[in-house]
Amino acid sequence: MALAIFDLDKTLIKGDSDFLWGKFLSEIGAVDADIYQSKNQYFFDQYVLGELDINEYLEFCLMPLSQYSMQTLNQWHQQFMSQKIEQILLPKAQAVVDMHKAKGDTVIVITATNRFVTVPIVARYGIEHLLATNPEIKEGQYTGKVEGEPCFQSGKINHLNKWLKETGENIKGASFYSDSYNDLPMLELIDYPIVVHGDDKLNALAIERGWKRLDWI
Amino acid sequence: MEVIDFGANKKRQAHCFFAGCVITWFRTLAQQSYISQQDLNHLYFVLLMEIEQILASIKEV
Repeated sequence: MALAIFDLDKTLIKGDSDFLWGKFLSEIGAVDADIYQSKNQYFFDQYVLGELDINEYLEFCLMPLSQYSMQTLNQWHQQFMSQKIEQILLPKAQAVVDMHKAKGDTVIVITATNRFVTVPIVARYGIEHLLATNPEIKEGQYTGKVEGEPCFQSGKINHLNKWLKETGENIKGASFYSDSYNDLPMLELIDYPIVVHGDDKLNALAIERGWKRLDWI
Repeated sequence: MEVIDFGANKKRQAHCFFAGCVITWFRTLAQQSYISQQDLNHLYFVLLMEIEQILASIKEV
C-alpha cells in the first residue's frame, strides 16, 4: 500500500505547536515572557512569509529545553497538551488519517517542529511514524542544539529519504497534506499533493496546478 | 412520527465511519486484484472529496 504523509502545524492541528509551546513557557514563567513572546512572534511571521532562518530559530526555541530537567519538561508537556493542544485537534483530520489507515496506507507525520513538542501530539492522532527536527540529548539532558539536519523545506525530503532507506518503503502513490508554501519541495515530489487550508501563496499555486484543496476547520 | 436529530457531531462521525467501511471494501477489492492500486488511490480521493462536501454541509442545529 501507499504512504500518507501529513504536515503537522496548521494542517493536522488548527495552530502552530512550536509557537504555542513558546507561549505556554511564557505563561508559566519558564522564560522571560516579554522577550520570548516578541522573538517568538518575529520568527513565526518570518515562517509565514517563507523567510525563516531555521538555524537561528532552532537556537532560540531549543534553548529553554536545555535549562530544565527532562522530568520537569515532560510534566509541562502534559499541561501543554491539555491547555493548548486538545482544543485545536481537528476531527476531520482524524477522519482522513483513519480513512488512510482503513485503506492500508502507512501514515507518517513530517514536521519542522522539534520531536519533544510533537511526539505526544502525533500519538494523540494514533499515528506511529514521526519525522521531525531532533533536539540533541546528552547524558539525559537536552543540549539546546539540533542533532542532524533540521526537518524543514528540502530538509524534509532528506529526512524522508533516510526513513525510506531504513524501512524499505517507497513513495510510489504517496499523498502529502500540507498548508504551507515552505513544503513546496515535498509537494512537488509526491504523486498526490493535497493543500489543506493553505496559505495565500500555496493556495494560488494549488489553483494554478489543479491540486486538491481541503478545509478541515 | 417523532424525528430524532442526533446532532452534527454524531452525523459527522457516522459519515466518517461509513467512509471508512467503503475504503476497507475498496482495499479488499485491491487485495483480491479486482482493482489496481492506482484505482484504489483514485477511488479514495473521489470518496475523500465527497466526504469533505458532506461534512461541510452538516450544520449545527
